[in-house]
Amino acid sequence: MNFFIAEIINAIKLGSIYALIAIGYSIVYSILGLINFAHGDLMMVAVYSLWVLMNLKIPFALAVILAVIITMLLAIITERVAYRPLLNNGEETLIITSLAVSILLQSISQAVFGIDNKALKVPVFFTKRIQIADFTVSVMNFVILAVTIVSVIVLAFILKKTRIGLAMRAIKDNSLAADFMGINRKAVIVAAFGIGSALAALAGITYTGEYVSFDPQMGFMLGIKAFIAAVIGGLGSITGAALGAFVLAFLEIFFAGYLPDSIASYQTVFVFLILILVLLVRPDGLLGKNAKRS
Amino acid sequence: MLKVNELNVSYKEIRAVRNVSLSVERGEIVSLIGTNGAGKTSVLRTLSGIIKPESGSIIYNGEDITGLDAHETVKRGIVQVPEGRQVFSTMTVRENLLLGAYLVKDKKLNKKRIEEIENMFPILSERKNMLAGKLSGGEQQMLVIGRALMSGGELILLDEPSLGLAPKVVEEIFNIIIKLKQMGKTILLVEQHAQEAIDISDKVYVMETGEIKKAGNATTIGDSEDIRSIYLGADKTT
Repeated sequence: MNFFIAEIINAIKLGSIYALIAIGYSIVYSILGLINFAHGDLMMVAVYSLWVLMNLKIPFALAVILAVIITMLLAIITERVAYRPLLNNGEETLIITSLAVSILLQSISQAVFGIDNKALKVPVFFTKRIQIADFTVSVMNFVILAVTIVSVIVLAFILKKTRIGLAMRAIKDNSLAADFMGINRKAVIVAAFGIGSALAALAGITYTGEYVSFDPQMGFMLGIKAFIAAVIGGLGSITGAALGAFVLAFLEIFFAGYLPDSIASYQTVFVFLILILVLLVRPDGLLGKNAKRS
Repeated sequence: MLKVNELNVSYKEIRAVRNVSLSVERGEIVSLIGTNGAGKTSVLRTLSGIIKPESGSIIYNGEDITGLDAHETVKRGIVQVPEGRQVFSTMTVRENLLLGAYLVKDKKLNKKRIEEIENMFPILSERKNMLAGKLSGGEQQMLVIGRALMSGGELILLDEPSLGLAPKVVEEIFNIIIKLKQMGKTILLVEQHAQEAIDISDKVYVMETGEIKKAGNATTIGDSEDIRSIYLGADKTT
């Protein structure tokens, strides 16, 4: 029983992190139809930025804010330099470009910081463990969940109540009509990259805050898994991305926890298997267009 | 108000618009009629900046606006009601109206305009929280006309407003167009219902395979035998 509850806590933690990343994927996808494979690497950028800033003795809270801002700026620059010139060249071109951006970011970070693992030492407050009944849970667990919940609420507010949010939903709904309304699509794309990369930065920082070690490749596999979560939930749908993230995290954690060790090491294979199964039954994901029609 | 000179537009490597010149005076209803694929929609989309012309010029209120993006033309008062209505179907009726005023930052003005539009189309007030995709075709057409009015634009480009609507609703839409004129709006209308369009127009241009074949005031065009032949031709090709 204790093991079961511990696994649930782990799954919520992992699901929260996947959700932050997956929602970012979905926002960018819904605005410009780009599956941004460099999205995961933005987490790595955020973590390295934070690590550098902390080594410069900048207070932790300020360093986190600066790391998020640096990540957002970098994302906006990549949009400007890499994606915008190719905007009318089709989705395939954009996807390949995003893979190139991903490799570029990883290579730069390898060249500058080396290939070896580093450790992020967050203030002790976060690693303190709190006793709940028979369990001790680290403060970081609560922080991760709180960051995800607050991010989702802020995002919902932006989408429902602000002008830029209205524009984002309009483009997702009918991009031609949005053009006719005088919505400047380029400006909205920049906003989508800004929001998506801020979420990725928060995901990277909380993830590394919990699991400590990081390296230049850290974002790639996490990014792929979160992308799978977004596809399972229905790419382009924000609720779908969050749902897919938790579904994937629960299945992944329980697969690794309850099956014999010899099979459990195939955790990642299992993730892809879930993806294939979901797409067989629902090609547009759990909350995709198919779901709406039926 | 609007002067188009020698406009040439290619769409997907096909010359869709050839040497089109036309002019619209303030307060007029001007119709652009012609068969399917004659290039009428391309003309409208070029005027609003969705597609870019190869050559030619568009002068609006004395300013050269050739090649400006849509958000620039909307800002200057040109607003398009697109073919096929193009509502934001997953958003509410009220949100659709607000999107029409996307470039208008004066909240009081927006509120006033919403009131005026809901007076004009009471159904939009009744259904303000309904998703636009759930409205009937005629209601959607009223919504997109209301949405265009929200921008405060003076020149309204109406692309096939009667497309796919029941005859009774078509009549209603034409009455609305007349009302828009009475409100002081200037209208450039693209229509398949040629006779009805001619009846309410001050000036008519007839387009065929990308070119203006005939231009004139409503009476001369309405009496012209050529118009009939063009429409008989249309029946064979569509």
